[in-house]
Amino acid sequence: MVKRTLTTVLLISCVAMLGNKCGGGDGSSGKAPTRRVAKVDENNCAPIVGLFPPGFDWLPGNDGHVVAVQDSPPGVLFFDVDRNRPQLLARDEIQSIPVDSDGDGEIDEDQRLCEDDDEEKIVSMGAPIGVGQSLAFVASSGFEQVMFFAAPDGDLVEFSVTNPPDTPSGSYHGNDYPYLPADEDERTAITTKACIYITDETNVADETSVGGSIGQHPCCNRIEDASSFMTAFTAGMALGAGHLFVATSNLDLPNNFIGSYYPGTVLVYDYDDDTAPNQIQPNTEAPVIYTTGFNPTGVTAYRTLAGRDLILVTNSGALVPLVGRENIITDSFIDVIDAQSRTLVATIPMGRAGLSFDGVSVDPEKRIGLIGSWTFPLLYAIDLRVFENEDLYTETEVVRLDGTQAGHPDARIFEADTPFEIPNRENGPHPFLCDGWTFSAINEAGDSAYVLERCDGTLTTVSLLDPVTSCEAMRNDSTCCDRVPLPESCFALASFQSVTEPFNTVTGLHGPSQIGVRPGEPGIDFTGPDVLFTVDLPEGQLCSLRVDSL
Amino acid sequence: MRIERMLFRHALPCVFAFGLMLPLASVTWANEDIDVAVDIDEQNIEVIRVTDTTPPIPKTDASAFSTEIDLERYAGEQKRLEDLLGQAPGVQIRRFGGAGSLAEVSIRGSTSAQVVVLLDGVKMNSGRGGSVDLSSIPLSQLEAVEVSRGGGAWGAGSGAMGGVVELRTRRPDYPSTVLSAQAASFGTAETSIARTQPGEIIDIGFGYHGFITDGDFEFTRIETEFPGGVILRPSTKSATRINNELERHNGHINIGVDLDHAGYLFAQQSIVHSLHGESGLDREVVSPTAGQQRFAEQRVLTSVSQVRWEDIAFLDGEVTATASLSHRLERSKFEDPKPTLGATAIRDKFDDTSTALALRPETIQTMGDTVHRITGEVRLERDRLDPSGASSHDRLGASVSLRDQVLLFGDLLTIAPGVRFNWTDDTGSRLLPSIGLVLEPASWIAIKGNVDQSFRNPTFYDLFLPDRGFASGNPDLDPERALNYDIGFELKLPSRFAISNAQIGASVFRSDVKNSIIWVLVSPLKIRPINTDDAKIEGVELVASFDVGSFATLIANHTELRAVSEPDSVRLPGRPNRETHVRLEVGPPHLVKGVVEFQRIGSFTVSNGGSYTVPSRTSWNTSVALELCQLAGKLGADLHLRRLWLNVAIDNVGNVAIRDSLSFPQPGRSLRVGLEAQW
Repeated sequence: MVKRTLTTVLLISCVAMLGNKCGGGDGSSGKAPTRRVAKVDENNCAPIVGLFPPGFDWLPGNDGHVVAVQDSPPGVLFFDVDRNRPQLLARDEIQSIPVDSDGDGEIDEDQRLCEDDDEEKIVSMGAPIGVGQSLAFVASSGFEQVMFFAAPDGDLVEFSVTNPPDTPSGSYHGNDYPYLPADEDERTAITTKACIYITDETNVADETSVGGSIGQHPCCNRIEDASSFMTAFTAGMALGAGHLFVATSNLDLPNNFIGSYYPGTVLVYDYDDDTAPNQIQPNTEAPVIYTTGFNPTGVTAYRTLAGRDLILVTNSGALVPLVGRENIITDSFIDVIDAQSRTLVATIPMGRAGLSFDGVSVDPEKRIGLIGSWTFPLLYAIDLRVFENEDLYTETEVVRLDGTQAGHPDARIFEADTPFEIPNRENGPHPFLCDGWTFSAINEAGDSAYVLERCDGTLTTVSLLDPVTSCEAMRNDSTCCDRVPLPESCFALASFQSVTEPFNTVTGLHGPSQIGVRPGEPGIDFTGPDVLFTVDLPEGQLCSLRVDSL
Repeated sequence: MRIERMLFRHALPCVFAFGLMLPLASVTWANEDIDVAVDIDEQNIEVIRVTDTTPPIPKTDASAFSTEIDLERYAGEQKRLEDLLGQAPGVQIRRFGGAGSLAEVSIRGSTSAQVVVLLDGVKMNSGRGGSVDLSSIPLSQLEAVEVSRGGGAWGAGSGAMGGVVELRTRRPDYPSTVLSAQAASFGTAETSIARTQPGEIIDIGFGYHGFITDGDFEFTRIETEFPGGVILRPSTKSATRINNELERHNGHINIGVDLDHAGYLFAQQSIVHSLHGESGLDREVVSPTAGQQRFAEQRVLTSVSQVRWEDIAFLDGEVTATASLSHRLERSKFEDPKPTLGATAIRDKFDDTSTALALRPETIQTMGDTVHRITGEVRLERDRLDPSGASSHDRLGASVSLRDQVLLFGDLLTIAPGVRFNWTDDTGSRLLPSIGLVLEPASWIAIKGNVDQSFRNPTFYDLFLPDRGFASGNPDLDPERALNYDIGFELKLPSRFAISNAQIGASVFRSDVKNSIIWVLVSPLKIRPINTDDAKIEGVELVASFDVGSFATLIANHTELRAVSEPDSVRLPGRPNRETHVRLEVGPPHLVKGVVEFQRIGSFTVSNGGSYTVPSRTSWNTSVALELCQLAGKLGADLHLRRLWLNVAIDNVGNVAIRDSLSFPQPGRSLRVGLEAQW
């Protein structure tokens, strides 16, 4: 009797244990778990969910509308910035990026180029560019591509994406873009993942930024025995002369903590917005332009007074995430690409400046280009008037605009050896925590530059003295304003204010990044705030400021 | 490996139970009933009244607001340690996944590194990060669990800012065997045996606990709601928790030797080995797997050894002392062959060891009308971290503490002043005073209060984590400090009608924290620790329990918490603003136990700036346990066991989406079935 009872019990327990695959719930009853985003106390900021918002841009021809990107979760937001606090244009739901982000019918993560390649998934988003009144392009990394978004909800838009036939000259090979469609397809993104081969023709050194030799990427096998790598970390982009120019930083990720990068590239696409749907494809004559320096980041479209479209590409140089000057390994450059001919025509050597990633901010008067530093409270500047020289575009070699080449003046006003210093805040953070990062923009009138310092949380106004009056007054020299580059004395600190807490806070807004000035004349073309900037921490924000507008 | 896992999960519990239970089922109790007949001449019995004139003795730590968890109450339910602790007032458990996953404890809004967990007096807090994984401590090995809320630095030293959790393993001073096995959802199985056997010369206790789980559960991904009600929904509504497997083995052995008048010598050794995947958080990337890590895994070996000499008598027994030598080793190996974005493989290995030598004397002295319970401790300790590929680090420390619990006016008033002097070679010395008060105007009421200082030294990771590009330590960190206050009362109410054993308690607490150490993002790819703004944590704890007849018991507690960073009063992340736990047990005692548990967790923020909050949520658990021996007895059968519980439980009955303190997903509804035998 006892043993029978015991045995019965044990059998029951065994059955129960063997049946432990009875499964469990997924927590789907009731409301989905929700993270609520509160309004910030500051009355001039709107939340961008996550940290370190990648950036924002104005929508051309659509006054007061801005596109911004959030990284976690990845998404694109459109704002009306006519009020003090930017207001989301979306009303009910913001479209999240689907798992098939490029619309090719395959889940991104299920795609692999070859056995040795990693799964594709969007890990981070890049800064956007406003392309049309309600259209924006946003790059992504992890799954390298440029996606197309529409206001107000951030819906993905389909373009006609084509893989042109290989050219007889050998300038273009469709197989080098493994994620392009075989022919033409309607997609919501165009790939920026391309095989880059280092051959004698490419005129690029077969070395990484730390001097290591470049091997062969296992998924790039069109040219045997040639060094190759896959583009990675899609960065800035700009439109010019009917083309889209997209920089790829090409981090050598497994070795990036020692600052290793493959040669920098700018991918060139033909973009036609006169068709429906819009069309985009790699340019077959010059699909890839190699940058002078490593780590191309910001890309700016610039039109000279003579009407020539240029693309200015910031080569930030190889960087490591350490503190101090040791984190800049190679020189920075500002490359100049002729958008019409799609050729690299000039480069401006900036020394070990560690140029910031946000691209050159240009003066509406077309005299000055400004750019900050990635790791110091410093500002650098170039003279844009050098680009008015049409001889620049007929040279056969890339021109160094550092005063060493006859007929081409030095374009540098402030560079690594002679930077413009931004003042430090008194209660700023210890350099151990944050040593510096500056972002800049120039106002519509062209007489002031606004410089954000991320670690201090300050906005410094730099007066860009009217060369006509100031040069004469200061130097009693009417030719001062004709001098190229513009004299350093034309820059002066005008004012200094805090816009956020310094970086040694935890709970207060800190880490302002990326600043932009609204196109148009404040008070005449618009009445809202004239300056926007993003904030990284503790939660991402898009904030507005009235500097020139009342 | 896969086949062995299947065998373990499915067959081993049965084989183990069957194999052991049959030969042991014939064990009877050592003590047998003896019938004795006595004739009593009632006329000539002299009645002698005995009056106890011994003065009352101050209770150990009388002023502390503590909860001793009655483990007997949970017999047969096969709960986990973190489940029981989570139901105590003022205690919050932070879970990072399903069963067996990392679970840390927070008391009164503290961080998990600000709670000291002692296992038989050995500090279990990791020298790396400062916290304790409660899921690695099986409840089957324990005979007592006590939570003291509020600063406990007087007794526990560095880290006891929020409170102290004291765990005691089963003493081998009474014969007992507990054998259990349980299977649960998501491919989970566990088994344990704990045996204690006193002997004529040597008392032995040993135990084993095995746990295995697939750990892969579906979870609903989080939505984001902007001001104004605009919703951002994730690209996939749900995802599967991947790479969440866990296999863990615990073993322990306790040996005790009674040295007669020379005291009691006790030695213990416990070892835990675990291998588990590290899937990480839903990284909110665009991916069906929610960006979890597929390949990262961690292997941890923890060894705790102690030799303790108890009841050492000095001065003709006026002073008794306990001397102990303990050693804790945690060896951890983390590997991720394919981190995000194809970065180079990560391989980290380190040894974290703590050695301590302590002497704790105690004496009870009557001085006039007062009775003093004087306890002290002299302690030497050494902590060491040996990371692979980086320098080792040592920390030497010494402390002396003294506390006098003074009973005044009979047992009306207890005053307990104390002081601790603490020194470490890297952070220097500090004096930590404390004072506690207990007023007991009647046997059914106690009013208590405490004021004390506490601190926490930065951990080795806080200070010396090598700069690997994504994280680095900060050697300039200062220790955290806190001034803690609390006051409250405890009532034992008389029985009324069917209500008996009614107890009510309430306390108000506050903690002013300085130099909080927080790891902050300094760039999208890098975190560093800093001493940050002051924090103020205050709240109210309410506790109530009572029996209804002999068939039902209700236990409830509610905690209100306000934890903010000064000076801008931003809510500290991960601390719910309120928690309510209610437990109802019904059924004839020791025969059938039906349990319903209700839990409501208030909203909490999940970001340093306080702008992102996760709203409150309610969940229910239920279980039914049958004591089969009693049941068999009623049917005329004898299972020859002291107890045999069959338990069926459903956790998260409502299948709600639960997100814990850092927004880690938790499983939905899950089923547990188990057996627990005792003899």
